Amino acid sequence: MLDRTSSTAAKNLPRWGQKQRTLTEFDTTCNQLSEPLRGIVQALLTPGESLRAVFQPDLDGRLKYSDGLVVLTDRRLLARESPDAKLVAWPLAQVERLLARDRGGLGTLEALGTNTRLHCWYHTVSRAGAARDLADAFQRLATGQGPGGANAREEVLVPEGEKPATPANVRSIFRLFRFARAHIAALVLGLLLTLGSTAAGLVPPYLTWPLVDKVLEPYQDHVKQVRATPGMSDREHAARMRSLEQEGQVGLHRVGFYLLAFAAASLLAWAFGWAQGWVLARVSERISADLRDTTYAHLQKLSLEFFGTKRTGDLVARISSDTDRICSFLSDTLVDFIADVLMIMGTAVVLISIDPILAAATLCTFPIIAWLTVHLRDRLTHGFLHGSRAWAEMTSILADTVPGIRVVKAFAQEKREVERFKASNRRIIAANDRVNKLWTFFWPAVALLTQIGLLVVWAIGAWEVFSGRITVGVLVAFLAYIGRFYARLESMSRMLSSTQRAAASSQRLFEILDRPPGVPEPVHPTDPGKVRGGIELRDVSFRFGSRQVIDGVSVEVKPGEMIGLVGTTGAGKSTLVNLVCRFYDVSEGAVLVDGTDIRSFPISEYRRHIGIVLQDPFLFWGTIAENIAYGKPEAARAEIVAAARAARAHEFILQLSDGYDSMVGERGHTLSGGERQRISIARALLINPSILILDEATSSVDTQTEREIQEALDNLVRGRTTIAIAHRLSTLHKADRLVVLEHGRIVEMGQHADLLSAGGRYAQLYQAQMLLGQARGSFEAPRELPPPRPDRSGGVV
Amino acid sequence: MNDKASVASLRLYYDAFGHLVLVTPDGQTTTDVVPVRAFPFSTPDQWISLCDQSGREILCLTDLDGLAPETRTLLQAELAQREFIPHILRILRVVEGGGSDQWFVTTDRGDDSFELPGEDNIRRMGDDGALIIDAHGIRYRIASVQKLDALSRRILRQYL
Repeated sequence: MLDRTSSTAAKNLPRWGQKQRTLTEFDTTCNQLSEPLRGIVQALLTPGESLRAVFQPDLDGRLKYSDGLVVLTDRRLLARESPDAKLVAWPLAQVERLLARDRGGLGTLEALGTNTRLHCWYHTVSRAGAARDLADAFQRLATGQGPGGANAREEVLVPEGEKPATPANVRSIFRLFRFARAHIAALVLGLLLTLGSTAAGLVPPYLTWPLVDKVLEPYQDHVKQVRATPGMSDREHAARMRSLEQEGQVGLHRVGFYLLAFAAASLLAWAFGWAQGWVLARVSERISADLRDTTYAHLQKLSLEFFGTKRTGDLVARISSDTDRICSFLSDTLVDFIADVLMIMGTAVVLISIDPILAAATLCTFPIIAWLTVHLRDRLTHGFLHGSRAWAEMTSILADTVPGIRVVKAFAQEKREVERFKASNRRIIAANDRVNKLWTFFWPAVALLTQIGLLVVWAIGAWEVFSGRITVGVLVAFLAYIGRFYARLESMSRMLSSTQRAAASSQRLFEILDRPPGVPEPVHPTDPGKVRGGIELRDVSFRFGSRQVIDGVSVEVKPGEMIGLVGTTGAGKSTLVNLVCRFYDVSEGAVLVDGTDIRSFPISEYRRHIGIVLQDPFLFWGTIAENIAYGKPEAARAEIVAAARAARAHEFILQLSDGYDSMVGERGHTLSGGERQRISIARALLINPSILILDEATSSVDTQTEREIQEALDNLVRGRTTIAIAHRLSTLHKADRLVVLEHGRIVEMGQHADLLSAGGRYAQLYQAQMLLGQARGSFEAPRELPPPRPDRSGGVV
Repeated sequence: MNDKASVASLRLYYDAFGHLVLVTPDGQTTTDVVPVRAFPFSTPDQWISLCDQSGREILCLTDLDGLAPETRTLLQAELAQREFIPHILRILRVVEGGGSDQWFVTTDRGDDSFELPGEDNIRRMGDDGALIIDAHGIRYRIASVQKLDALSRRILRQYL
């Protein structure tokens, strides 16, 4: 690990790409330190001593968090365990080497003397990069290299990935407006229609006021007057009755007018309501689709690593049910909410203009409701977030067990799976019960408060009528208004739950959207053009979390050459191939194709030149022809058939009842493993790649099928740069060179016969497989492996 | 594979057993050949493969245009004879049952009823067509959904 000559600042963020920084003069090492640290470090230096590297271990000897310091200068190694501890110093002559290692999140930096360990510093893996930098700086000092000099590496312009931000909960809901923006016109129209409908709804109560005060009451008073006036002559009485009758006629006309207006307003409210519903439903559908599209498109860009850590069901739930909730919030709740706020304000103005005292009485419960809302909001969001997670867990179980149903049945674990499902359903119930308790308490409480408000208004209203301040008509109109007012208030309070639900959902959605794509697109992309297929791995390292998977691998592959990657499980074969495909970016070093760093190619342009055949071929739901043409949907039938022929798939496809038009399911269940594999080989052939990756392409099938596949593969490999991984060494008989990997490092490289006679790691692996094969009687090495050259002594077979 | 001149000299005839015999342009004779449509739905009349009884391909015809007229007629008749894909003209009713539905249909080959195991067994074909695969793997086609009567369309809409 020590002889690795690597040092970049990107070690602690390997996933987010290379940090843009060149190794600089060591005098600037000092300038890169933060202000307080620079002061501390400078105080430690003696005159003329120059600083080489600084490392701050964050754990002490007992692995407790502390704030240590290790400083390397051109003369000494200085260290202290905590800011208060005593400074220890070793002259460089005493220090033989510095050894930086890490494992499982814990790193150590050891200072080794000639025959003793001088000291050991512990740190979390977040500081591992700095520890290595320090060790590297020491190495350069020891070997007498100038600062930076020989190790300054080629810089590739790759943007620094952003770290995923965790947005504040409420803020995440405001971030949703970018999805509403595209439909702003329709949303505003919906809002106007809502307002229109509500405004039309406000007219009828207003009409009750003149109806009572100007028509009904005066008439009733007159009638009472006529009846109650004593000692009236008959003629006089008759005349009075006539005038009363006339008045009644006029009154009836006016009643008719008011009722007509009443009906017209109701009709208008209905029409507006209808239009509003339709407009909003339409726009809601579109926003929802946009949201799903955006999330899915983003999901496709994320790294394999992301999919490795997320459960399928959870992602499915985020894209399906969470977007749905958000969409219903954006389209319905939001518009309703704005309309409600405006209407409440409008109504309040009307109420105040009619009678300020009554209005004040109406609004008296408002502060209590506001307080309740604020109080419950956060608890509701948490509850809903919890509910969403429980839901995602349930879908995860589904997404897990449905594809794995064969395993479940084979191990007779149906009952356990049912139990697991039930348990997760119980968690949904528990989570939802908590939330339900909250919000079901909430809106009846609001209803109660409005009832109390109504009571207060009645009381004050009655008093005001008695004291002659207002007429009965005013009171009636008022009561009609506050009925609506409170209804609005109630509906707003109900929105609370849907708003908080949307907030929780949008938080979950933005967790996906905020994640930067796995491998960043280059700032100044170079067109790969016609790729010849020369691959060079230049001192490539890759760490996965805290684990060093690939460690300083350098290989050069000529165009058209076939390389076999050999090694035990976990040696880093697949990772190396993933780096070549740029599914991940290297932590250090570079992968070059035809002499250009692959990070400067546009990703999809680059991958177009790579064909890949995996151990477990995945067939998408669709016809066989569609599956073969997956990498080139516009391919002609002749191309498809030619690819299928070359992959030895044509004839078995013809035997299927629908030929190339046969549907294959999610996992191609109707086809055998070998058949699926040959379809995936045809898929790789069709795009005519210059670089070919075979990742255990034949290890999941029997020897007979392997032979068929091998024929297909031989067609595929011809003339292409090939990197093949295989456990079964016999598969690699065509390889020009074999690369033996162990613990992420190359231990051997060469041709089969040479490696065999060298008697190293490869020979061991080969012997082991031979023995195993003989024991099983199925190993066919003599047939498939080239005979050992006569001039060598490798007569193993 | 489809050299026009040589394809014209390709011969097909029935032997005494009623088996199809293929004489390829290079004079090779194969008895009991099976014509197979490689793309039965997307391009039924192109990419016809002639296989022997073990499924090995002898010859593949990318289109039938170059064939001698009588050979072509014979081949088309043989292909028609070998496939059973009733065209549904009308869906009479669907009786829903637990998990699988019983369909009663009128086809170009007469009235029939079949069992549909699940909605995955109905798929769209092209713009307006549909393909139904019943519980036994028998295929039913609907050339144009739009041309069906209203009731059939209504039933179908629940599945597509």
